Amino acid sequence: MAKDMRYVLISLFIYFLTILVHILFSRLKFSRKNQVNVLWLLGCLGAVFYWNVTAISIQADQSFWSVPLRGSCLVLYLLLLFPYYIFFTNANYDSPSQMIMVLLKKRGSCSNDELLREMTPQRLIVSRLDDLREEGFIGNEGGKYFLRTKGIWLMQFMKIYKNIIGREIHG
Amino acid sequence: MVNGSMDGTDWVVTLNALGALGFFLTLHLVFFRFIPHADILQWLKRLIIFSICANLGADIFRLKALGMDVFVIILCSSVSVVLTVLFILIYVLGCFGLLESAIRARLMWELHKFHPRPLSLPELMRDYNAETILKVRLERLSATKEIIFDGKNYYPGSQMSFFVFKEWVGHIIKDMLEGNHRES
Repeated sequence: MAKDMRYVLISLFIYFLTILVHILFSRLKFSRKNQVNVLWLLGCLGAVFYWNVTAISIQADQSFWSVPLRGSCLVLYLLLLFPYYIFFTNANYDSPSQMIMVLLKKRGSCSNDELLREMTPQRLIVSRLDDLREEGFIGNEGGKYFLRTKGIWLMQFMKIYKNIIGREIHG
Repeated sequence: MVNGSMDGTDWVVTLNALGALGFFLTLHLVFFRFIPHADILQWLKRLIIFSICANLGADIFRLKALGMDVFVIILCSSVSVVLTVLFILIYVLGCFGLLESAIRARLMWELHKFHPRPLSLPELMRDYNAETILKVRLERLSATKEIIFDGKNYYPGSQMSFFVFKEWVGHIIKDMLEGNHRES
């Protein structure tokens, strides 16, 4: 069965290799910005590696042995990097929906007030403001927050997108 | 088939996945403006399933026309469905999720509303605070039956929750990044 899916298996193998190398690199405690840059760099190297490995090792044909999915599996490899990126960048945050579900699973039941006690502004808001500041979207002077150019651009884009889709920014 | 390029099967798989994304986006842009905020997850699930079905139908039709045998069709359709799910997932998490449920985007939106006047933390939290965040999440989770409210307390609903799964994967990645070993 494995031989029928060689392109799929090679792309998945290179994907897990990329993630493994990135995890090992991330343990070196570089800044998060550098860790993200390294992820994209490794992703590009992985894509080039996949394209060359499949060119050398597989003589594709229409048989069951090697269904020619070279391009599709390259796309698969690249797309799979995004969910990892999202998990990686969210690893430091507490998602409120996740907090609710985990609390309810742990305790069996909770009232609104009990849930609210866990949802402190520090956990939900201040940690995110610090992060936005670190990434250059917002600034803070004298305890007051303001948008930086990068943040203004992003909000302009959100405004256009919000008008196209006809919904509000709920958060 | 030339080894250095994509052939018919390859194009069918990738283009059908992109077609399914286009199908998803069209329905999403047309109909989602009418859907209440609390029901959004439910409709998102339905639309994703609908797009996958459309993708599967197109895959089977086109691959049969190319004269593929049944096992090849199963393999190619599976890859195409995975690509469709990933395309949609990236759009939902990267664009729609920002608008619908990203706390960071909403905080920036609050600053944008008053721009260029800077806001203190209490001013920023006047319209958007922990209470609002909790209220919106509880409504959304109740609508998808992931939690149940009996008028006083909330209870976990379905056994298999996307958020619990996400928490589990997130913990594994976090532990690996930090080099921790979790005690069972």
